[in-house]
Amino acid sequence: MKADSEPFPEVSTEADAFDFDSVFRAEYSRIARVIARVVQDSARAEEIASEVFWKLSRTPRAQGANSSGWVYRTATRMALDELRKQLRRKKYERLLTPGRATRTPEQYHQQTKEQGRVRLVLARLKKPQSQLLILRSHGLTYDEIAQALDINPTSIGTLLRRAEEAFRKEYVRRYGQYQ
Amino acid sequence: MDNTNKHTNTTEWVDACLAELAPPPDWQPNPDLGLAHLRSYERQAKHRRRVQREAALAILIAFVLTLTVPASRGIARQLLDRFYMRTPEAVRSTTPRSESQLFIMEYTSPPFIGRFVSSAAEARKEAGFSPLLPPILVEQIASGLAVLKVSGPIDAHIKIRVRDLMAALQSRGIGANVPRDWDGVEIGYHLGPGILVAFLGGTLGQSQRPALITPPGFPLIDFTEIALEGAGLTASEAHNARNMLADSGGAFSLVPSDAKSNFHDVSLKTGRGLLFENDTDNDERQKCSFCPGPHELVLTWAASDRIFQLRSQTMTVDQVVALANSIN
Repeated sequence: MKADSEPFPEVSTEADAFDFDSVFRAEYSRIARVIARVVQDSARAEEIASEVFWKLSRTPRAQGANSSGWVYRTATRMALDELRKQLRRKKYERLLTPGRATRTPEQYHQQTKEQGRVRLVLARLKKPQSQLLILRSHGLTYDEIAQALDINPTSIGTLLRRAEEAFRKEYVRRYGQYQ
Repeated sequence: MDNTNKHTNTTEWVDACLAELAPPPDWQPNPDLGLAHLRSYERQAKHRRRVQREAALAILIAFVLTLTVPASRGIARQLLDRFYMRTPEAVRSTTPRSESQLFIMEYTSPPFIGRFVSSAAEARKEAGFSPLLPPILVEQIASGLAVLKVSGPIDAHIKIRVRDLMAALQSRGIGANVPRDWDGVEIGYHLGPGILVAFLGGTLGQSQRPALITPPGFPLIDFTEIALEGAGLTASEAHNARNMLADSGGAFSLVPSDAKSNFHDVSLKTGRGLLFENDTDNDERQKCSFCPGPHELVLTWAASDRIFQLRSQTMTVDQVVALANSIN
């Protein structure tokens, strides 16, 4: 389950001695991988990761002890925004296509793949619930998730259960019984 | 026990679903490329900020000029525009725009073209009042797509020269009697700080209602009627304007006969607004205080404690009205 070990590395924690470059080097790959989980496009994931760090550089209050948490929170939020944007774009492209576009076997396969389903369900959940699930699946501990999403660590278990249940319901509503 | 099993099953199943999304293990993000991206964002953002600053500055200057520099029909109507903004009105003059100025406004406050602020809270601190903004602009400010600027305050005054006023009236064949004791009277004008949002579709300006300051007991309403006649309104128009000012605190903009812009009332959530539309390539901003630039819409309206002016060259009438109505 630990997809990426050591999610929160030791970095400079003093806001006044914030070393942006070292935080960037330490976190970039992990953040890009979290984003890639959601957007499923490695090049786009790297672009969004850069944008996350650019926002960090422009947000002095985020540059402190919890910069890692802030970066994870922002990354998951931006990744979900990108996912929703992709889905909206697909929907409008379909609407604008005259007649019914014929799907290639590859596209058909892609659409029916589990990945596509999971991403669609994630896009439909409330954003905090999707963020919880993504960070958990990325291997963060409860404390790290709490730190990243700025919520009470004692609530994480309950919130995760609710998020899982919401995920299951949405999945079943869309695709029928889950295995 | 069943619930525990169900929960465990759900957790495992959700974990398995999300594990499908794991990126390929052989993919390694490239921090050097990421850093290059980041630097390019910085360059783009700097460029964008500079363009936004310059655009906002140009818009702000135009806005301040529109509000403060007298159009050539005389300073009197400009003062009235500033002071009585509860119910914006517009009156089409029978005469074209003239280059002669009946009154000269002298500014007593130092020039202040404003400065950018990063948030509504900072704007409130600088301007002394909270901006009322549509939610969409709040979002755009937060995301850097719109910029906030605080301008003002502006203090100025005019001095009445009875001889000049009489000469202007006589040149129009009006034999009005101007009291001699008005000679040398100064009418002060104060406009507090304003808050301007420059967004991709236009600008939204707002300020607390300005004030005219006259000597105690000075008959401002009588003076207004006479000054407006001197500025080009017919006797009946000037009298109507006087009644408007005296009865309802209505404000009006004197639109010269050669201005091509059309204007009409629109119904807003907060009451009535005045919409100017310019379908021509002519910039008419110097012709009257509400007049639009080329292909621009200008919506002016008042709330209980402030005046608003929304300008756009890209939005439709419906969009302008919807934006005004979305202000909380």
